Amino acid sequence: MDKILRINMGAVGGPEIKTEGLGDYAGLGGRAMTSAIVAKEVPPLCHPLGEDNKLVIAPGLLSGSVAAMSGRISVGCKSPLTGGIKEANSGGQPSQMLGRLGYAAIILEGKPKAKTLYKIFINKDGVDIKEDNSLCMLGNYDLVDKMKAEYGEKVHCISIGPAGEMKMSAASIAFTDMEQRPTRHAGRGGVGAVMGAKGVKVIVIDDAGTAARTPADPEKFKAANKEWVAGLRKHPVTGEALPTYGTNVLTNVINEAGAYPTRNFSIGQYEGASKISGESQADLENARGGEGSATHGCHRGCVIRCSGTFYDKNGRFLTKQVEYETMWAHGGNCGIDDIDAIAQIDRLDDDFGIDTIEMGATIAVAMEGGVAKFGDAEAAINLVKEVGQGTPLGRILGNGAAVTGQVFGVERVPVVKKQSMPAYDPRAVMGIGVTYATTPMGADHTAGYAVTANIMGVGGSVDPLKPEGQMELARNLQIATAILTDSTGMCLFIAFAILDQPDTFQALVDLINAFTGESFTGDDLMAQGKAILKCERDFNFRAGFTAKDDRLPEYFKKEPLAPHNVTFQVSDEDLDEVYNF
Amino acid sequence: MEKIDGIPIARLSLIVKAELVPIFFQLLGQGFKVNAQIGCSVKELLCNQLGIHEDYLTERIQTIFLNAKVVDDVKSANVNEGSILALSGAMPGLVGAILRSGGIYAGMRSQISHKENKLSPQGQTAPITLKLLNLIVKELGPIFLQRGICIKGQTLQEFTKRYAEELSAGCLSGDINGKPLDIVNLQGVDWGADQVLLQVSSEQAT
Repeated sequence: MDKILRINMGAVGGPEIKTEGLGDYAGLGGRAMTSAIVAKEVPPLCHPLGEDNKLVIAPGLLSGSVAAMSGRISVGCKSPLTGGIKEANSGGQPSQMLGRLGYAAIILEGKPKAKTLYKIFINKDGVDIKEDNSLCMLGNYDLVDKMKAEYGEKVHCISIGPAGEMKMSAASIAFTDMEQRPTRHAGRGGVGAVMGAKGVKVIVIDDAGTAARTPADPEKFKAANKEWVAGLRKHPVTGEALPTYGTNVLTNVINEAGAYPTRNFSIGQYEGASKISGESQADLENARGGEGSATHGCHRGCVIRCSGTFYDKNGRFLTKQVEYETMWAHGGNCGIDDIDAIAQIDRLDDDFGIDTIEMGATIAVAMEGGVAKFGDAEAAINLVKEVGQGTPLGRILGNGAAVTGQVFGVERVPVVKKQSMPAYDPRAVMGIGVTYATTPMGADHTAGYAVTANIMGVGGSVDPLKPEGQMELARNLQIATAILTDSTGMCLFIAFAILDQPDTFQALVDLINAFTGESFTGDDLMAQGKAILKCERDFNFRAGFTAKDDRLPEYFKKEPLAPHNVTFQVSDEDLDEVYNF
Repeated sequence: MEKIDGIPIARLSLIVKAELVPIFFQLLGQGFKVNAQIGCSVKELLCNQLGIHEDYLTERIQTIFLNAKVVDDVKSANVNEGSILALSGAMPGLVGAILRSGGIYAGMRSQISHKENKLSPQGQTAPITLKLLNLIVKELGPIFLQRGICIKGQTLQEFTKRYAEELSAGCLSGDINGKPLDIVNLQGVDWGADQVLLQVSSEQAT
């Protein structure tokens, strides 16, 4: 990946395409790339939907190689939801394809003067951009079908649905999966609205005639990759739990812990949890059968295969296997225990191009505000349809939980930096509340996900039972995640295997070094992770964020959560220490 | 007739095709009653009373909840009358790691970690509730089903109604309190509020 594709959508005479070298951005991938570009090139005080914001799409550092699990792609910009820097990432095929085509990043900048929609086509021969207003308000599924008919059966797409075109703050960007379905999304923070503001409906990618990227040391790379795959396959999480049940395996466990946010974070256990658990979902999928039903990868090179394919009662494809966060957001958080109804909502979210976490949290807030009753699946489906249709109510909901809470006078709005919390109540699991509060991204469960200094053997040892240890754990988790997964293109779920198996962690380091030709140590990687977080924090500071934005909503400190009757007790002073490095 | 909580319970025994066994796992996940000698540690209960091998406990059961709190030390957490014990395999994600028994992220969920509890007098027999989740139910479920699990009649009723088609196709034979049962009538049995001891064996196991 030795080039950056830069398209000025606001150039006089129409979009201007430039291909340039990596320059200052050499050696970066994924989140490291998107955040570096946004921090350097986007004025922090600009309007997120204005001409000065930029949308950056960057494959992970190892994407396009044959390294297992390396197919994640990052999207960065100033977020219309949070007002701060944003990196959202996704699986799907485009990351590997852009890597093979040699693109380390695509930057969309400027803004078209006229209300025009564009499609971009990228292949080994170059880049083409055309106006195509016939794509206006198409759902992602119809859009991809149209692109396949036009560009051939082997292309893949990066696209927005109607929500992105309407510049909603919950709008996502879709990435097609191995079956060319728009089921994988960079969901968080309204990145789809920024793509919509640039007037780009779809980027079509054809990597025919390209080859996998070549490692600096092919022999060492091959050996490290073999170790890497073996390590992932032998671990009970990556080799058994995830392939068998998918991410939704968490439902029963989080519910048992009393940390399962139910009916808009009002209690920590949901009586209908087992009906929508990963175990029940896998049973249903296995019973209905069909190709890739309960175990399936989201991109080439995935060996964990935590996804699946959801077929309806009549055996017709409906959506991908519903992920834990989605099953929770539209399920327990709204008091809904019907898997088929939740799968239908997931399909609508993907088609309209909406973040499932934000949408589920928003509907729950709306339910608390009296718009619908908790547990009413049909009402929830209709509310999502309103978003896709852009009705006045849909426009409110499509702009997320914070806006919806304000409109309907709801006090219990579970957001940080206006972004909805995911599926873990921070009163029961306070450590994740520290991450929700302090990550530059807004409430985000993936921000502190990987391994700590304890495992990497750098930066000293932490006593996790002391409060200061908790702060340090949250900090180190955020640092390690920024570099080890978000920037390499590695899937988040590698975390357990490298956590438990030192030889597998070493295989990952060897893989990175053999590919890049570098000799990174654990210290080097942690330093890179710190640099990413510092540049993101600095952007937010320049955008007007202060320590007051690193807080959970007040009610988490006041309202005890059943069944444990606990509140969030981490002090503001401790939260302010997380970024003291 | 067997008793639990001093109340006589009905016994439903089913012999089913092997592929039908997994649909009963959700009953194990929702929780079932077990008569146990209370006043002992979690480890004693699981290994000495329920026959779970110590290596299996150490290597496969990665997260244990006692009354919805995470157990970090199976030797010091005590099982008393009415305890609810849930067993899970290793879980993904940051929170999965945080919830792991004795894991390095335990400090991040100190509010819901199990602390020392009082010990009931040893030797008494009383019911506790056991829940088997995810990989654990897949591996231990058939054994517990063969031994028999005690569930609410209402739960069984809902289950037989929901899976009437599958049960009709996959049940080979059955009896209630030793009296042969025509499987087509299973859905119509009124279990009321009684507890039912459900025993499920696959044709391979019989």
